[in-house]
Amino acid sequence: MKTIRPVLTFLMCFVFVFTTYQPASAALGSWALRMSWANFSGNSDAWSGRMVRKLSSSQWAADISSYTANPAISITLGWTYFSATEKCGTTIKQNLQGGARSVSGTQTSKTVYANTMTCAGTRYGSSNGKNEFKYGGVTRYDEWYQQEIIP
Amino acid sequence: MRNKYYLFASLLVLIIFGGLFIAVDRIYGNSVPEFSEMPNNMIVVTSTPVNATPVNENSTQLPAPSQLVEKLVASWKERNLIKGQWIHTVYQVTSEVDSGVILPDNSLMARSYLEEGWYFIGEDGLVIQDVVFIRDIKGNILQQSAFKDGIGVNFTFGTKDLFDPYYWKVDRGILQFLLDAENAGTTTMSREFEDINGRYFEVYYTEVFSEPLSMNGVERKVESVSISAVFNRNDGTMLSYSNFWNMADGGKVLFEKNELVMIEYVKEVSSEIAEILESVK
Repeated sequence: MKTIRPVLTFLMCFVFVFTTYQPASAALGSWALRMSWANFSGNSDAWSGRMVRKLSSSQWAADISSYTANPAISITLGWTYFSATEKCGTTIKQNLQGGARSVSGTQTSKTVYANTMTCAGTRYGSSNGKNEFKYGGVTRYDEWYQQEIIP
Repeated sequence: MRNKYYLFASLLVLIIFGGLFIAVDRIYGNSVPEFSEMPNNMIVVTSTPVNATPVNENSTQLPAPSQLVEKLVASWKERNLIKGQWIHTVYQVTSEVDSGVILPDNSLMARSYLEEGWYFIGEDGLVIQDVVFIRDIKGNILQQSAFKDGIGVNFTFGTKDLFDPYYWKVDRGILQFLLDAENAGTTTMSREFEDINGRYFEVYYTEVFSEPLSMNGVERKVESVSISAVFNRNDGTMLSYSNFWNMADGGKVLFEKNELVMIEYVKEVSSEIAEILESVK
């Protein structure tokens, strides 16, 4: 009992910290990555990514990705929906659909291109989606978005 | 007592490992694999204007149009971004492309609408409160949002976010478009003209994509984008803006047109606007 108690305490703390861990904040033009499913097969982890990029004076893009790592193994992965949203302040100016995807492989990604709209305030672009990972009869989902200011 | 010790020890270990984890994450965490489907990361803009039509021989490339717009915007800011003042604007927005915004009644937001905004200027010329309505041509509210005390609420979609005060851009972001285009090597042009109502300044340019591109869910590919904006030379307000897509298969599609319907500067707002701001919490 004396040995079990500290181990249990540590495990509970670890589970709490791990399950509430959020990825480090990304910036415009770089991937925000998140571990969606840890150790689903041996050491393999399933990761999801979002990116918002400014492409030119009047174009921007939103990206989504699903992949496995450490090591990369082939599973069924993708997302149930993917969209790119542009806001001017709190007003939604456009919301573009990127569709769903489910493929076999170690990684997949997709981009939605948008023409930037005018905005008198602060313009935000976001990459939204719900990643899906299937392995050994188990399906895991991870729904989140990454928002960046588009100058 | 012993439980507290275990808890403390566990947290200490987690903090140490957490620090290591974050450090490793910083170094290696963004090493996302090279996605085989990922298209080129950047669109290379290699254009000089091909569709914009110089109107008269006064068209000029020096000084850069962005510098002239910058001066106009700066003089407008100096006169109008005054603490304690409200800016009230109405723009007519027109488009031939769906926005993809699905409203709560499951209808698609109209392509053309009126955008009415009330913006309150606080310290340092920053907007610290606003109320924005998107209305269809018949006057029905499609979206309503407001910002106060760092909280932005979209009442139509029931969302709430934290926001920083911001500079209100009389050019609606066109100055940044121009700067980006010029920095990428695109030739931007300008001209001046006048009529019985005043003097005007127009800027325009065309961006040609390195390869035709499908945008905004439209299957037809866009070869280049032609942008133009007309400013009132006397007061610096942007009177109109247009963004046309030049399609790879020929023809043009209007992506966005803005026309200033009205702009006024007032000290007080109506009770309707005040009540909307009161509900931002």
